[in-house]
Amino acid sequence: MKISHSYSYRFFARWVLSAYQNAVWVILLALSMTAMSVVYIADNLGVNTDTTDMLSTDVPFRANHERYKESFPQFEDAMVLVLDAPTPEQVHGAAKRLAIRLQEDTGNFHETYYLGGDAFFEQNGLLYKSIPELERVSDHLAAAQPLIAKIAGNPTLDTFVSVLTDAVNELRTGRELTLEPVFSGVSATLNARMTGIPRILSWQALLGGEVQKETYQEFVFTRPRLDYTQLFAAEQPIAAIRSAAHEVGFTADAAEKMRITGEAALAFDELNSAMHGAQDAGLLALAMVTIVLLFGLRSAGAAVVIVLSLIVGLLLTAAFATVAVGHLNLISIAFAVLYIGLGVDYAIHFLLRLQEIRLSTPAAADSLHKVGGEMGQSLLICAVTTAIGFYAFMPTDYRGVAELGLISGTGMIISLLVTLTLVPALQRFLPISVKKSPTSVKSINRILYLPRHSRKLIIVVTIAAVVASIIALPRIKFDYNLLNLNNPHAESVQTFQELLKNAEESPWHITLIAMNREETEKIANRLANLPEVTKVVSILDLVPNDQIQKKILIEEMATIIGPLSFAEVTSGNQARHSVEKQREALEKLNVALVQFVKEKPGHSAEKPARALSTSLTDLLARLYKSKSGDGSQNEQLLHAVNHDLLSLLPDSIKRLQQALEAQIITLETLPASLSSQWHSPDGAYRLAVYPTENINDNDALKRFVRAVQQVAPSATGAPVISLEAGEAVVDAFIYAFSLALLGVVLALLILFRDITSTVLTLTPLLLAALFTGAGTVLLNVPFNFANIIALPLLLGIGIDSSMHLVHRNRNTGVVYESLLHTSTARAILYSVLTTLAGFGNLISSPHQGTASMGLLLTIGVTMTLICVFVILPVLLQSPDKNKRTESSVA
Amino acid sequence: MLAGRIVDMKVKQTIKLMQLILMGVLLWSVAMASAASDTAAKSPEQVVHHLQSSLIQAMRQGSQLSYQGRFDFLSPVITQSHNFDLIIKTILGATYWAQLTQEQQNLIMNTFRQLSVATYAGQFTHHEGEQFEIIEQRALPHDQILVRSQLVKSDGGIVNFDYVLQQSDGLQWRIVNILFDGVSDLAIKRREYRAILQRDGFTALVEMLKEKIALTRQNQ
Repeated sequence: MKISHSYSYRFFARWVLSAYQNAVWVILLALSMTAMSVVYIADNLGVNTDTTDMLSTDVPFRANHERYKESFPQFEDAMVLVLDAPTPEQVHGAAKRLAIRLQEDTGNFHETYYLGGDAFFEQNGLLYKSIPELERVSDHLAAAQPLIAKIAGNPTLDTFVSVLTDAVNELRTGRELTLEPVFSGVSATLNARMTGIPRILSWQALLGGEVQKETYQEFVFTRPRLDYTQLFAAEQPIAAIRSAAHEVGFTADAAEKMRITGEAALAFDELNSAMHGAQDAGLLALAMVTIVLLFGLRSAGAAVVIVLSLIVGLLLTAAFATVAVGHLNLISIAFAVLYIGLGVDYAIHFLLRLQEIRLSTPAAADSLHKVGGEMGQSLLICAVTTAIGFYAFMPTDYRGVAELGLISGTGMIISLLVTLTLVPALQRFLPISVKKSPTSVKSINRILYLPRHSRKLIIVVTIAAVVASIIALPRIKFDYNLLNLNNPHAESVQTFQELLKNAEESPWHITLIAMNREETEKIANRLANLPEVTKVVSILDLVPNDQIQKKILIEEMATIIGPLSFAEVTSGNQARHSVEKQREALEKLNVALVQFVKEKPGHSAEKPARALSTSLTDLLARLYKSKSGDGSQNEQLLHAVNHDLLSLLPDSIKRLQQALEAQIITLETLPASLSSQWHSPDGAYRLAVYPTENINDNDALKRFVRAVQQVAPSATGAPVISLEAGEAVVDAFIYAFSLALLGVVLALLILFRDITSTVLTLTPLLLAALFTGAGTVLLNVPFNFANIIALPLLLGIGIDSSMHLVHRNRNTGVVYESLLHTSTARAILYSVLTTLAGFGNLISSPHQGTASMGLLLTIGVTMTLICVFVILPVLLQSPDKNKRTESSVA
Repeated sequence: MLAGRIVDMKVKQTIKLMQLILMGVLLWSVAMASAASDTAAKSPEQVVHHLQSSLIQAMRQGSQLSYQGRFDFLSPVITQSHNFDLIIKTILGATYWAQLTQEQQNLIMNTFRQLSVATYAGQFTHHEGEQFEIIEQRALPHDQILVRSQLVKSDGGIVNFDYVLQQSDGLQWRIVNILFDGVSDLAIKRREYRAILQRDGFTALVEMLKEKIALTRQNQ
């Protein structure tokens, strides 16, 4: 065999040898090129973290979105600040303060708006209520007016309490007064104070006749100025929101709480968790890869050579990416993953073979010559085939994937060059240590050798597994829900999911544009009739129905409550002088309540009166207890109670009076700040379509989107984009992989010039792919936007692994047992193990997308290992014998 | 002669002019008088003042006049100064009001008006030196005007009477709500009447109003 070396054998042998002989120059050249690359990358490589840019704008759903963005750019990359407080007054006030504060910060935010705080809605909000609702409000106001009027003159605790006492006494005389809500409200407020978790009484809720809810929510929308040249584009605006919130009273101990969500915040948390996950996994990976390398090569020098060649190759590939593409996006950045996963492998193969050869050929130059000849050929086949596989991604619509293909394909060639040039050169300074069959190798060999007795079983099991996998294939799913990729513990994710539950106000809704008012009305009516749609909002909804009738009702309200104005109270001196007086007043109220309960059993106000009496008894007991001691404690307590009960009253009345000045609304009188959200300067009308179901569920989302698209094909918005992008990505990958397969088949045919070898190489690859697909069904790891990136890597590993083994078998004619004893088998094992060590850790990432990528890689790599080490040797068995007979004949 | 004719003409002209002026003055005074008797020209403050002075007058003559006498004396004043149409409509609610027939509307409006007059006649029975004082007049939203006044009792006690007035049928300012120490009369009546309406219906409400009128009469 040695005599009949092919041309390529001689070429690579000489190449490697000369690299070794000119080691200093090669190393210097590599270092200087790497240094230049670093400088060039630092100056020129951009990162574009905008995920929507990754798909070509020619795809219809992107074109629809672009058209929409043209008319309504203000909704892109918004953040939603979700504010909660125990009362509507507090949350409203806080939202208003925060919105104003952010509106001033034009450096960080394009615009900020709080619709509920808009002067227009503050004045005209009542017109958006229904007529029965308005009548109910009138009744409640009528019931509360006498009480409020009496307090208004002197809004202090003792006035309030004595007015209540009078009212209770009137109840006792048989007058009909609606005091139940007041009793319950006051009782709940006192109890909250006594338990130490104060909760201010909401007069707005009380006047509206509703039981005060646990929490009231308002939304402030803001559009941050995102800096896509930064990895964390939203970092600065988010920090600005947090500090502004803190300044306007959202402190840790405040009753008002703020959470940040919305597209931009989700993207931020997504990247943040992905980066942190990758960072932690990266450190662990480095440690584990080093252990695998040291264990496999038993040579520190070799491990250093591999890491060095990896770094040089990675930087050169990044430099190529800078020249060829100019920027990285969230998918093409995965070239690093691919390079680390595959780039090391060539060096491992090279060095392990070198170690093997040096056992028989001790001279470094001779052994390198031989390794060069043998490995050069097989590494070339691997690199070319894998590169063709990656280049096949380039014609897809998915620009992220296309760019990834270009960068990674070239990366494989670079890795080949580095392995054949830098690695031999480094042998001069960091030579691999040669050991005779260490125990570890023996034990590995034993493991690899295990399946030899059960060939029939392997064939039977394989066929059964193939059948089972084919049955499972239709159940492979793609999860296009981006929230499922994100960190489930992130504030933005949890908040967003909470908002999605209320489908009627879902932050994910479909938007579309109509060109005129008639069309808007027509489409809105047709969509509203769909069972998948709960409501459609357009500018037409900003003009309420029955306004004349409602205006009369509102004027009625104004007449009924009359002018109310509050006297100023200086709370300080009032509290100091009247602890005793206030206590007496409270006691009187309690007595009246007890008597009322006794006299009017079964009265509708009996239960709330009883509750209030209990609360008062507790409060009085507390007052008596500390009476003996420090008087200021009582003063403080009463002051606090006074604040809890009455502090929100004047403002509530003021807002009510503002709302009573509602004016008839027409499309023409809508303020620009409002109408511009629905009617763009270029004449387009916006419609927002809300789902009936929670579209956090993929099937519900699909039903919703498809139903709306039937009526309005130009529909866009997050649900449409994620569904369509998901399908586009799936299509792109199917297309890319079909092309890759074709490319790989052609490459193998040309390089092997032998159909059997090609089929033998492809079989484990295809089987591994099939089993991996079935594995995702079995383990419930649907494909998604993140883990789909693992597929090219699996493709590369699959090609390389099976090809090395087939090549070794074909070239050197080693049979089953000895084949698994070769350095090639071990090199494949270590390569795959380094990949597992490198990426398996991702499973623990807080970012679910990354974690699922780690899981998918683990499944895929395991399947590849089984196919290459268990099934492939069985397949190589029979043609092997033929080959041996052939060669012995020759 | 010529001069005589000229003088004669001048005299005639002067007489004519005098006649014109006289007629003008006459017309003007008539117009003024009619304007003065017409509430349309009264300011909100004047409407309140007229009502209050009539009340004081009814109290002063309280001992001479019977209940019926006070009722008859106050009835036109109160009817003219209050917008009962709007008051009862607001109390019952515009939506409910629209559901009533014309007869029902007339019935409830008249009954309510009578009750209002009866209440005044029953309450302002004798004079003990009370005095009404108007404090201020200011504009409210919805083209309403607030006239604030106080009833100063002989013992120095004060009750705030605040009137909300609205212009109706063109120019007349009429009372639509009264606040006693801030408590809205409309609010109290709305709560009370609507409770009866919802529980027992329209007829029961009318019956209740009639009962109240009878009760006021009896209590005299």
